[in-house]
Parts: sequence; C-alpha cells; structure tokens
Amino acid sequence: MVICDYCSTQFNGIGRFCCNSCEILYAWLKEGKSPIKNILSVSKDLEKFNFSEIDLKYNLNQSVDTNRDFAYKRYRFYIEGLQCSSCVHLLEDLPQFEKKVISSRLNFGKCLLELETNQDILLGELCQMITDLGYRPTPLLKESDYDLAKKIENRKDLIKIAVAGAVAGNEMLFSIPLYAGLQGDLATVFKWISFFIFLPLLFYSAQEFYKKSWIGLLIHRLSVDMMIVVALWSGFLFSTYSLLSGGDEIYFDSTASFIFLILITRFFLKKYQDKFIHKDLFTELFVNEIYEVSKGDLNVFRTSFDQIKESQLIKMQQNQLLPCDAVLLTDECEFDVSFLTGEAYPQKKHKNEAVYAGSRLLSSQALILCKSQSHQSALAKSLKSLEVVNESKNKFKYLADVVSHRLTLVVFSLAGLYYLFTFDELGVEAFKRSLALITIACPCAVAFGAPLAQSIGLKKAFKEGFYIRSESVFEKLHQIKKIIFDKTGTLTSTHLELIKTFPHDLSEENKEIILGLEKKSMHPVAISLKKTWAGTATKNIKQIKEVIGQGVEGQYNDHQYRLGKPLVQPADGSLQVDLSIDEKKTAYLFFQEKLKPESAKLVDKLYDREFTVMLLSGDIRSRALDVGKQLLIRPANIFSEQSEESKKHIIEKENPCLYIGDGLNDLKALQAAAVSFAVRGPFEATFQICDIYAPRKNLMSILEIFDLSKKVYSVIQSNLMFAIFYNSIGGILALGGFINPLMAAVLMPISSILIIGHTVWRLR
Amino acid sequence: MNVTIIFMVSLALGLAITFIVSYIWAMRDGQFDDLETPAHRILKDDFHKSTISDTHEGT
Repeated sequence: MVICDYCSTQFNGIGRFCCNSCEILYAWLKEGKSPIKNILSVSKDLEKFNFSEIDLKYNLNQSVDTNRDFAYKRYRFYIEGLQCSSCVHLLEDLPQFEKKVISSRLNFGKCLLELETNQDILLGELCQMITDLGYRPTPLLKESDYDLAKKIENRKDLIKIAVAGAVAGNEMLFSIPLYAGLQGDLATVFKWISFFIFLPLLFYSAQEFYKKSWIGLLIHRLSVDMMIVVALWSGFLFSTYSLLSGGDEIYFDSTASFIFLILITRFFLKKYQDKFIHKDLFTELFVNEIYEVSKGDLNVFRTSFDQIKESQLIKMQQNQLLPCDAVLLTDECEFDVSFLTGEAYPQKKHKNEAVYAGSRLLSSQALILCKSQSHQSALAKSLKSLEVVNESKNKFKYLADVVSHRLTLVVFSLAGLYYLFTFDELGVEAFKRSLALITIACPCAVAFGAPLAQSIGLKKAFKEGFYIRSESVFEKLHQIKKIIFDKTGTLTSTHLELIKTFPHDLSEENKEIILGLEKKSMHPVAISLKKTWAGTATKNIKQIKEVIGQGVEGQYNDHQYRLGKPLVQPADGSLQVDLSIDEKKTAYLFFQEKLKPESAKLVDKLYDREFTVMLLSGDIRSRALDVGKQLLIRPANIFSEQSEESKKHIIEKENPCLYIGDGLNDLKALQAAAVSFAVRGPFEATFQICDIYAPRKNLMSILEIFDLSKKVYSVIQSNLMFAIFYNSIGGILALGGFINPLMAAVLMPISSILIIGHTVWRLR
Repeated sequence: MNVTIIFMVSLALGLAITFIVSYIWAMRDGQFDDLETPAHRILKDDFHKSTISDTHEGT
C-alpha cells in the first residue's frame, strides 16, 4: 500500500499520487502550474475522442433549457475512475478551466457528473476534457419525467416514514409512565398528548393504505391494506373511546409502531423494485449506431437512428443493425435475423425485398431504402406493446394475499357475530372485546412477514448475480411443474461445430485453401472453421467472390475453388458445405449446432426433480429433434418451426410454466410465461421483460433459484401458520375478556418481533 | 400539576416537532440525495482560496 502525496489516501499501485487529479492539484498548489496546461502533459497518451462522431451519437442526451436569461445545455455523465476528494474538487472546478462550462456538480456515490454548458460546446469536447483529466465519461440519456417523478415520490415516502417513526417514538415515551401505573390528572394529560401525537400518523403517514384500500373496494377485492386500515382505525377509535370514557385501554403506541414497521418494510421492497424501472427499449438498442444517409442525391450525411426519415437511403456497413423497416436496393445481401426470428443461419435477401428493423447486415455493404421512421417500425411497435402488457402482467395471487382475505373475513365475521350475540348481556364491553379481537388479530405476518421474506430473498439473489424483476417469482416458481427451453442460443450455442469431413483426413493444402476463401467472411461456417483450424496457415486466394447464400469462390494456382452449400441438405439436421475444384466436388464438411456443455446435465437434474421438460424452436424439425435426442427430451414435447406468435400461444397453453430463452425473438414468449428466465440477452430488453435474468451465470443457475424460492416460500408459509396460531389464541383471549391494555400492547409487537426474527434467521 | 413536568413535557414535544420539521425541510431541499460528496467538498474551500489567489497573483 502506498500513501498518496497529495490527499493521503492509501492506494495500491506505483507512483506518488492515487489519481490524476491529485497529481494535477499538487502541481497547481506546489508549483503554480495552471491545471489546463498540466492536463495536456498528463494526458498525451490517453484516448482522443472523435468530436463530431460522439455528438451525432448522443444528440439524444442533452436537454436544452431556455427558461433562463441565456440558453444553455445540460449533460449528464457516468464517470469511471473516481478515487478521492481531489476528484470532486477538480471536476467541480471545470468552470474555472473552461469558460464554456457554466456549472459542474458531482455525485460521488452515484459517479454522476452534471454539467451545464454554453450552447457552442460540443459533447465530444466535454468528453475529451473529462478524459484528459484521467476519467472515463459515459454520456447518459437525459433525465426523463418519469425519473423526476420517482425522485419526488421517494422523498415523500421518506418523510411519511420519518413522521410515523417520530410518532411511534413519542407515543412510547408518553406511554411508559401510564404502564408504570401513573394515575390521576397527569395520566389524563398524557393520554390526551398521545391522542394528539397520533393524528399526523393517522392523517398523513397512512395515506397510502387508504388509497390502496379504496382502489380495492372499487374493484371488489379484499386487500392487506384494508386489514391495516381497519387495525389502525380500530386501534384509534378504541383508544379514543377509552380516553373519553376514562378507561385504561390505550393502544396509540402499539398501533403507531405497527404502522411504522410496515411502512419501512414496504419502502425497502419498493426501493429494490425501482431498479427495474421503465426504459425506452428501442432507444437503448440503437443509441450507439451511426448511419450514413442520403436523401437520394449525392449529399451523404452521418446521423443517429432517430433522424432517419422515410424514403431516405441508408448505406449500411457490415455488422450494423437496421433501425427501420426498409427495402433492399443492393442485388443480394445476407442478414442475420436471429434477433427477430431465432433462425441461427443467415438469410439471403434479394433486390426489392423487404428487410425489417433489428436485422444485422452480414455482407460487407448494402444500400437500403427506408420505408418507415424507426419508431413506426414493426420492431418498435412490438417493443412498445411489450411495455404495455408488462405493466398489467402482475395478476398473480400471493399466498399471503389469499390467507389475508380469508383471515379478514373470519376476523370480521367473528367480531360481528360476537358483538351481536353478546351485546344484550355485556353492553359496551361486547363492543370493546370485538374491537380488541380485530386489533390483536391484525395479521402482522400477512402485512410485513411476507414482504420481508421476499425482499431478503431478492437481496440474496441479487448478491448471487440474479436480477429478479418481481418478488412474486418465489411463489410462482413453487407452482411450476413444466419447464420449456428455447433451443438456439439457450440450449445450444450460436456457434457451429465442425463434426466431420469427407474424406476423413482432409489434406493440409485443402484446409489452407478453405481458410483462404473464408478469410474475410463473417458467416458462422467461416467462424467455426477459423476456430477449429486455428493453427493452420492461410493460402492467398485471388479474386475471392462471395455468392450470397451459396458460398465463396476464388482462384488459386489457376484452379477455380468454390466452398458452398449443396442443393439438398442432409436429413439428420446437420449443415453440409462442399468444396469443389473446377466444378468437381472434392470434399464435404458437416457442421452442427453445438450443445452448451451444461445443457445435458441440467435437463438430467430437472428430470430428477420431476419436472416436465419441453423444447421450443424456430428451427426446422430435424434439427430440433436432433437436439432433443441428445438431451433425452421426448419428441412429443418438442415444438419446432415456431414463430414468435405461435411460441407465445404454446406457452399460454402450457402455463403455469417456466420458459428459459433469450433474444428478441423470444420476448413475447418470455412475457407470456408464468416465470421467464434468461442467462443471455444482448440488451436491456431481456432485462426488462424477463422475470429472472442472470447475465453472468450459466443455465445451471436455474437450480439455485429453485432452491432459494423453495426456502422463501417455506418461510412465508411458516410465518402464516404462526400468525394464524398466534392470532387465534389472542382472539380467544380477547373475546374471553382476558386481555388488559398492558398485555395487548406487549402482545402485538412481540408477534412482530418473532416473525422478523424467524424470517431473518431462516434466510440468513 | 408540577411545573417541572409541564416544562419537561413541552420541551420534549417542542424538540420532537423541531426535529421532524427540520428533517422535512432538509429532505425537500434535497440534502439527502447525495450523502457522500459534501463530505469531500468540505475539504476544498481553504485550499481553494489560497490556490486561486496564488494563481491570480502569478498571472
């Protein structure tokens, strides 16, 4: 460990300073070197940005504010490489070095830098400036209205919790003397103080419960919130009645702590779920692409996806993603549409054929006529519809909800019946006892035992590398007996494997020629061959020509070589490629989709746990059957040649099931399934749609999630059992008139503490 | 009723109200949005004034 000469932070590494900022500030302080001159000397080896490029890319990022006297732009950056206080000082001093920067504000914890600048500075220049200081800036999309609303809501929630906490604490303070036996005038004063302190909680902190209960009433559904409202108001009315009639049964303190505990647990649960906030999936997909566009004349300009208009021409480069639905103008081109259809092999498109947004160009170049603006493309619409459906997906009935509905009914009916039958005999006492029953039987476990178990479960899963979108996953997984796998990219890798060649011992020269032919190709066959024959030299082939959809050809030693597909593909599901010399076939190569190493083991383990395993694929029947055979999946459980829509229908038919898939073509299926799981997904969409997303894990990790959900479910179950038992005993005692105020006040928090303790201990 | 008790009770309530009001004010003001950076920022001023004046004198 070395100590920084400037800021005294301990750091691992060599040199005198922990970061560039310290070095720059040290030079400023000791040697009077102006930071801006010093920056240039420190940063000469650092990456230089292409100003115009980055500005095109991120013209979506800036928000221009013209409300002030002068117009200015506002940018947000995610900054990597923050080390110590010097970083804060230097980055916030940017306005001093660069007059075009008006203000600079850094959030050290979130690594977020907010800059306000003049109109005439480019984003690229800002990036360059920050890079020169030794940091890595990533421009962020501008803050949406949704983010701002969320921020305000978060603050409001915290204030409500603070008020509830203050009320609960002070209620306790004024209750202790009463429990200790305080009598007379002072006792009455303390009781009245308790009453007034309780009001902010009743009318402010508890607003959320009223809202949700009201919504529940409107849609005729009993909810936990109704129980809480009833418990809260029973506690309040009962205590107020006691206060007015000179009784001792004051429950303000226990009711306040109960509400405070529920608010806190719900806040943490909500905080976790906010990680999965709504985002514009389509923009996320294309934000990093720059396209060469012309309006049909010679004037070519470069722009971002959202600026491309209908009937403009796009000159696409290899590996680019098409942002709009369009028509191909080049004679022939190959596209990777695995993103859209799941088809593992490239598709050939001819002149005047339609190509869709989300296709990736495999040929070296293509000229394309835009037919719709990006946001009107089929892909954009499909993503949009996913977002809408996603919001209404959670119609799941929680175990805790089901129990709470029944408990609510039982408690209310019991209290009502007891009051009706004993009113003549007991008078006001009957009313008191009925209310005591409702207060004491308030289902703490239902109100926060289940959310607590779920949020601990979610946190645990998050630590292990799983992103779980909703806490309902734990209970849903418990009901699942069927598991449906997507084939391409999930059970198999997207790469092809060379399984055999004919003749068996292919000559070195032929291998070198084949590699020479495939030198520049991005086709899966070429990639596989380059990988398999990695140590082999490459012959220099002349006049290489890629015949789209057919293969490649070229000349070597006055012979014409051609590597391409035969007219008929083998029936066993493999892919055949032939090498011919001067039109004469000399060698055959056979490829197969490669199973992921863990696939077979996982399916085996799932059979052990008595799950039904099914396979769903967009690929042809023979290939799907071949994979099924290797994994011992029954042919009746294999669905091949399925489109995006039909996959969705099959899953809806098989629900409740767990669907394991990935990719854009799977999104509808992922969404339709009761629970969806993905280990791979190139972009945000998977993360948004999937119930469980584990980008750093392999398929086997699904077993870990099953184990965790089993545990969470059993904790919720035992919490409920306990609550029912505890509440029944408490209820009987209350109805029998054995509960005095002190006992009631102690009993309610004890049950809460027991449940919290049990949950935390079991899920530790 | 004992004067001391009245004094203590009003003090307790007064303190509670003061704290909750100041908390609400701080929260609305955004003081809890960033809990880390202000701690770094506080180190800046002294150094900063001296260096800025130094630089200006030098130029």
